[in-house]
Amino acid sequence: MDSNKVLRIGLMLVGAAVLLVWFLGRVPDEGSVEEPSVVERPDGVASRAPSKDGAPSAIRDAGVELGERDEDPASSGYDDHPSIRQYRAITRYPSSTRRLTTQSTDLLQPNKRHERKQPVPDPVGNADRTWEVLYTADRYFVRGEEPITVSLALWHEGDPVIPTGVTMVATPRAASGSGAQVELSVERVDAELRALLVPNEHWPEYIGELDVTGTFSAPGLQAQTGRLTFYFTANARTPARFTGTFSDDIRNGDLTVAVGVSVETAGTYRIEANLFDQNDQPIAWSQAETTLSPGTSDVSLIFYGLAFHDAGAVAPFTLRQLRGYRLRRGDSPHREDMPSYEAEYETSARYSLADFRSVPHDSPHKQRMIERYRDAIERGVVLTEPEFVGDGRQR
Amino acid sequence: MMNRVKTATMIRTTLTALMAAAAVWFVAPTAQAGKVGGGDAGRCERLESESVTTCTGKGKNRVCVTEDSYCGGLGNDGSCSCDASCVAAGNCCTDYEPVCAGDFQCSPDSGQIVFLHQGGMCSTQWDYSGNPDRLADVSGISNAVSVDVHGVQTDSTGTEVAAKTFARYADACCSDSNSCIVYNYSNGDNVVGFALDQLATVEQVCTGKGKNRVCEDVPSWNILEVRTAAGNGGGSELSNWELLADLFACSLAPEISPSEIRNLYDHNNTRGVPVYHMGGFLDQVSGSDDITLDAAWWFLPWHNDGAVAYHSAGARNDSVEWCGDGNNLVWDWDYFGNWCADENLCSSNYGTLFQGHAIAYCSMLMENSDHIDQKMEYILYMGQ
Repeated sequence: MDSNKVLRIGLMLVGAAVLLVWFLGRVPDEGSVEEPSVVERPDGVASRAPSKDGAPSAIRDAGVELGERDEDPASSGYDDHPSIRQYRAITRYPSSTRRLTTQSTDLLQPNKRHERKQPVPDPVGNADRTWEVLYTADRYFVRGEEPITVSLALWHEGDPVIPTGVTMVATPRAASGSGAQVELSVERVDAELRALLVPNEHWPEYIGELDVTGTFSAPGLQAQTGRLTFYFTANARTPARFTGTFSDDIRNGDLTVAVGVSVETAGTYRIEANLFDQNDQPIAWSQAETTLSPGTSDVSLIFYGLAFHDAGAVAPFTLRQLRGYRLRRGDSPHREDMPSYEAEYETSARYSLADFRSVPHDSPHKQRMIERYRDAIERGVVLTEPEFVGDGRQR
Repeated sequence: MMNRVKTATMIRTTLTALMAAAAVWFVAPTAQAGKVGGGDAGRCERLESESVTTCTGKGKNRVCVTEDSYCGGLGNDGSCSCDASCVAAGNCCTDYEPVCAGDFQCSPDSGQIVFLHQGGMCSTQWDYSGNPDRLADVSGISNAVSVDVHGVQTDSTGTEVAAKTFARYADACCSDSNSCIVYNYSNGDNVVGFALDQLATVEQVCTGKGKNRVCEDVPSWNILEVRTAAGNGGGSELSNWELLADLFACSLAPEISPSEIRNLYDHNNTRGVPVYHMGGFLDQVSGSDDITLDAAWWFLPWHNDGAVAYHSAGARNDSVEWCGDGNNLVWDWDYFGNWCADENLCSSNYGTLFQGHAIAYCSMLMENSDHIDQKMEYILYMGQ
């Protein structure tokens, strides 16, 4: 065989290989569904069009290497920059969905207080470490006729001491309150003092912060004053209530739970809830921010499909800790709470992971922001390269 | 360098007046006479609950206007002016320019990269003459500018008030073709966080029809990242007790307790903006060179910079204490007790971060960087 022939055969083989690689690159993975196309609206706002056949879009089997899905086909040199990686990671779901894990304390305990046992100040404001105090309560947000239980415990050199000269006075803070103070009745329970307050009995028209100021002393301890703050929405100011009606469905590869609400005050509302799987493992948090008019309507909580894959969730799913409030933007007090809904709702169907989309969220806005990161780097901006990302986004 | 135990003994005998004077400098070095040192500062910003609605006309022609500022008259407390004549008279409230004059020191929709600087509690701005703080140097970046956010963060609603002013800056400086990077310090963490969660200008983009209609709120603010030093997003335990809150120089001091701050807004809702943190701590040997911070150290959970604890500076989603589980405690002769040996702000032993938040620096270089030192640390580390 002469050298020209060898060269021709070699070139043909290389060409065939290039064609094969190109062809394989175009074939979608088995089981994948085309993402809805992105279109520009005439007003310049980008929006996402539904898939051609109207079928649920972007559904993939479980077990996808999620890192691969984060790749941006249009990416250029800076995509490995830690700042861009972090941006992609925190926008993995749309803002209406968050991954929920057992570590998501703030979302799983939305009414938690944060006082702790701590030293008391001496006359010049230094810590007298021989004395310790815990002044706290059982909730922060108080809705309608809910009671508050306030507790006070004191220790001297590690031993419990019953405080003396104790007063607890409740005062609504904002100008819209009546301003009347209420002194609470304090009683001893074991080694601590407790007081009960039902704010709605005293301030039936109030919204906003409410303080309970506690003053106490003990033999050898100067008088101390501590303050607990609560956020109270009186029954008469309740803007809306949950009706207890629910329905659920899969739409576009996401779980949608429609929640019934009865609205008294029109406005912008935030409705949110946590979702758990069959094994009681937290899956995701979802929030809907929507404008509601007086009357009864449904609010859709959308749980982004990828969260189910990330959690390895097993149906049926249970909705818990449903809560909501009406926003008062740019104002103080800044919200009016709905009564929390204590019951739970189990989804009607036994969905499988294959029903849910498994691709990270993408949008024209996200692509534009990535372009801005690239532009900033090229113009000389030094972006932060985070050393620790421990925000519970377990994958 | 003083031994911590000795320091505590000395503090007990120190004059109360000295403590109070130092406290004025505590969170924000706001040594400008007549503005913050004496207490709260006047402002032109106005919350809706403070507003008056005036209606004219009848029927279909009835028009109601709600004033969202004190512009055209005196500030909220009468101590300064929000009228245009204040410029010549020299008695403008600090937030007159952004709130009334619409002057934000940036060029809207010009492709500019704007570095906003949001100060801490009791402050009205970031950069005070006579103090070592300064704005980031952006001279090496094409078409970039550093902006000092003039928001009044002093009265009991100071976080919400300053957030409203911050939102004005973001609307003007961070929208359209502009992008922003935001520096904040101490309670500026909550001002920016509250603004992102509650006040961000968003556009709702909807797709699909009928039951398949899905809407998403797309933020109009193009904020590339938020850089937080010694953030108070988790609240400060100093705020719980009257004797401690009184050390602060303004009425916002009792309103920043962990319970109040953690429930004030949704800290996870950063609108897709990465929020980065750094924070310092005082060690068992040196303490702080500031007597107030050194005294305050004892009231706060492990570890802390004398004003905020790690759970706050480290953006944890719970008020967890380092070594609060009894682990990692090691006998220390300097401290003369068990010292929490896990001094890493990035320790995964203690809590999970708010979503969207991350730690910029874990390094032990933050040892003995107290709350005052922290204000400039992020700028110094980034070099811009």
